[in-house]
Amino acid sequence: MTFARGGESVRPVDGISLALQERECLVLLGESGSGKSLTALSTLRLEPRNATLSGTIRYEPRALDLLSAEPATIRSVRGSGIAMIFQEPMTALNPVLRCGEQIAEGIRLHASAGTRDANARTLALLEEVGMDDPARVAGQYPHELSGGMRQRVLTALALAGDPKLLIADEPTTALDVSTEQRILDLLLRLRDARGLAILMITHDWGVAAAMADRVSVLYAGQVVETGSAGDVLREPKHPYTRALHGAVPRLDRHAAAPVPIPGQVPEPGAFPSGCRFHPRCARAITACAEREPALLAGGTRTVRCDVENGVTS
Amino acid sequence: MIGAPSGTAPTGDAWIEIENVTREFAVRGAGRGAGARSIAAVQDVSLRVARGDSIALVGTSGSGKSTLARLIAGLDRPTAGRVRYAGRVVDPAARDWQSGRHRMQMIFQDPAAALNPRHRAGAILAEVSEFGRGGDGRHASAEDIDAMLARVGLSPADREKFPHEFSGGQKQRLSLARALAAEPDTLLADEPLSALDVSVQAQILALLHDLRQERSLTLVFVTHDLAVVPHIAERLAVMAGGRIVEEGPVDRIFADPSHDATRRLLAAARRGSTGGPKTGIL
Repeated sequence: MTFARGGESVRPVDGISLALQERECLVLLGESGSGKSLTALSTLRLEPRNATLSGTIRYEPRALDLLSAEPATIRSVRGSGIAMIFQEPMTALNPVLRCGEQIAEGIRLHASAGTRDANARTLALLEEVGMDDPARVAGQYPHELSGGMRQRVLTALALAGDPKLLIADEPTTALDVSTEQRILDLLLRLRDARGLAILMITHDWGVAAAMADRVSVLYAGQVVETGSAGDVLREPKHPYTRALHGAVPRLDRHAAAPVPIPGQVPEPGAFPSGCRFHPRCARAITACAEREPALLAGGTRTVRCDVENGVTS
Repeated sequence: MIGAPSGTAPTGDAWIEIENVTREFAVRGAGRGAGARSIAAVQDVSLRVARGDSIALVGTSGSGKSTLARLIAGLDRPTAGRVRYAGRVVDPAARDWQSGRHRMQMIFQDPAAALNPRHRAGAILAEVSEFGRGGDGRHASAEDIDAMLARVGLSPADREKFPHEFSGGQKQRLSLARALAAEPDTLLADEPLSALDVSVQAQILALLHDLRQERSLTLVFVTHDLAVVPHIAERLAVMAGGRIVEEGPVDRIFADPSHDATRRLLAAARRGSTGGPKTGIL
């Protein structure tokens, strides 16, 4: 993804490749500025207006490339093929419509359902997302609900078009830890019950550990490490993934204090030369500043680090 | 004292003493026809913090922890009970409280809240440091400002920057530098890490740790995340429903939590801080 900014081109997302299977949860783990949210938006072709995309976005159920597809085709995939939930459900819900009306509208939009059908399906969806009293919630406005309840309503709305892929962009960041756990459980249950693929965006190691089948770690617009959740989260190989792991506070009273990563996450447009992590990396050698490392596969895992991969000029 | 086991309260002189504090807010009933009523965000809370101690106030949102921090800082007044700090009653309206209040500083989740967007970093620090010297009207020298910036890991070049030119982590450093410029003996930190990236959270945590070593700062650290507590505090007060439900040394509470709210927070934090496999699927 490229932006033109004052005569220069800025590339906040740079050559990211991801693949998702049915009934799989892939977690994009990254800090602010890693390009994770822009990647998610691009998947739905909701990239910012002034952005230019290149590459392909293949949607296999309909053998489409969403990058070259007609706007009408893209619209038909949104909601019924790929749906999205966000960090702050309040901004995605209409504040002046009762929750039930919003979901029913979504159902009517995607299926040619009559009003009575739509209402019945609305209640079924609210029940599916764990509402004890679907009829009551259907009659309430978003502001009358707690943050966790709102996220459930937004999830029901996302399911209205019966999607195959759900993109969840930090869906629990605004929630309490206990509510967070319940929403994550709900998403896993939906994955199992519906065969839903989930692309989960998070900066939170714990959320990744709770959700992921596979993990892709993003840094400065690139994937630096991809692999199974067990591999990447238990035995991270890329120095950034390792450093991130070390920076997560441990609950244990006697555990070592979290280790800060020196410096800052670089801004798009100011990514360092060579390996983008090298200025903050404890293992960096001279070559790291000069040569851009390739993402190399070793078994089931890929790592973008020449030192780790043993690449010599 | 509600919920707080009296045997664990510090017996020495209390630097911050909270006595039976309640803070009620009037709420308009949601929906049709419900009349005005009030809810107690903080309910009959008592707590003592000794000088130089570091205590974490932990709870879920709505537990009352931020309201309590604001009451301690004198940014709000209790409906009942009182807060003492350094032997004086904290009362935003009292003249003698105003004169010494700069010794207690607060940093927030959103560091921008404490930074004037139209002032350069240097001017922000200079203004506050006057209070630190008792309002003598002398301006801080460039060297003074550079030292304040250096203390939090910022550079002299940052003196001329406006707040919006800093990243989130740098803004929190600047807001910490601003708080320290007043030469406080007490720091209240309300979720100072929540808006920061993980790699930067650890930087601020390390910085707070070092500052406590350097100067005998009394620290009240408000957080929803128990995992950071062992790295910043010796004592822990768990809040739920406006009350302190458990209070004592971090070691003891982690080893043997006595309240359900504490156990739930511990379980959530345990999940968050492991890189282990997925938790069970329903």
